[in-house]
Amino acid sequence: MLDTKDNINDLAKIITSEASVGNDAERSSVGFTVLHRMRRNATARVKDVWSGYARNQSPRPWAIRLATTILRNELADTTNGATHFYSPQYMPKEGETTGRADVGGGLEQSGHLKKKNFRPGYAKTFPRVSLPDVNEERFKFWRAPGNGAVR
Amino acid sequence: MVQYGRGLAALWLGLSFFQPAVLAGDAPSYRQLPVINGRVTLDEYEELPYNQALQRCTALDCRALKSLVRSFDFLGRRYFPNTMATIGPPQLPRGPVPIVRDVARHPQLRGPSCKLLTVLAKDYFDWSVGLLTVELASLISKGDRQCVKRVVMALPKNKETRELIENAQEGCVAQHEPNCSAISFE
Repeated sequence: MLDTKDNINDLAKIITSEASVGNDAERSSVGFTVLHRMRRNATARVKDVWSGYARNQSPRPWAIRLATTILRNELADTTNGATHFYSPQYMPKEGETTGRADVGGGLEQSGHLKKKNFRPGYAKTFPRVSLPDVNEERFKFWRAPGNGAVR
Repeated sequence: MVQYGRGLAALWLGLSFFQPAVLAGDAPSYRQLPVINGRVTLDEYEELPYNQALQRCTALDCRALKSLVRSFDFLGRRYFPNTMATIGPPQLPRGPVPIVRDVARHPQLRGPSCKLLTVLAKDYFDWSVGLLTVELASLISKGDRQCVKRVVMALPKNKETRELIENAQEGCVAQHEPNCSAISFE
């Protein structure tokens, strides 16, 4: 049983922190990456995988509802096992300082962004998961190869 | 869901509404702007943050627009922290939201900013832009709830907007922002 009170609260916290102003598809896709990591890491606890996510915002009511449906398997998962994501819009752009951003994947063109954005290293080797209704400037999703644990 | 860019394109359109005032205030700078009237393409919008003419323009409305462009970016970085693309903890933006800081220093920016946000709200095509528009209106409405009320009332009346307002109000309350009760259709 995944829909424990702790799991719902923890997942809602992640979704709120990572995609609070995303649209429905983006919010749920972020949520499903957590579920995929739990499965691949053979754990029933959100806390076991949450170190890879932001958790700085308190969960909103909509996020609690969304987390509940995800953990109860009441929402169709169309994310094809996605485990990673980033927001091209807020990655450093060509010619900008990169700070602590992971830019190992080099430059790419994302949708209508005027300048090329850097992408993280995993984007070089992981297959991309294209999702309808996910805005390409705002989110890109990726799937770690294989079925093993995801760090 | 349409493209993110169309939201701020509406801001650019909004700027054209202020042409007379701007011309009176800073005609040479304003005339240098490449897009003043008419429909704005997505490409034109995407260039907005990099537009040198806008950066040089010092008219009140240009300053409001520049500050809003920076504020959308600021909030975007806060809400999309790119945790999986950062070495170490995410680098969230610090300090006040630019438009809040700018309005506090120069209260005359509140009016044009609010008008721009109202124009944007009227024509918002994107969920994120809609939410951020309401949040910015709320943030600059300290002591003047009319701004956020006007922005909310400008939103199109449909089911999605109802959800958006509910979300915006929840976010406002959770973050202890001002004027949350004004974020309502009522």
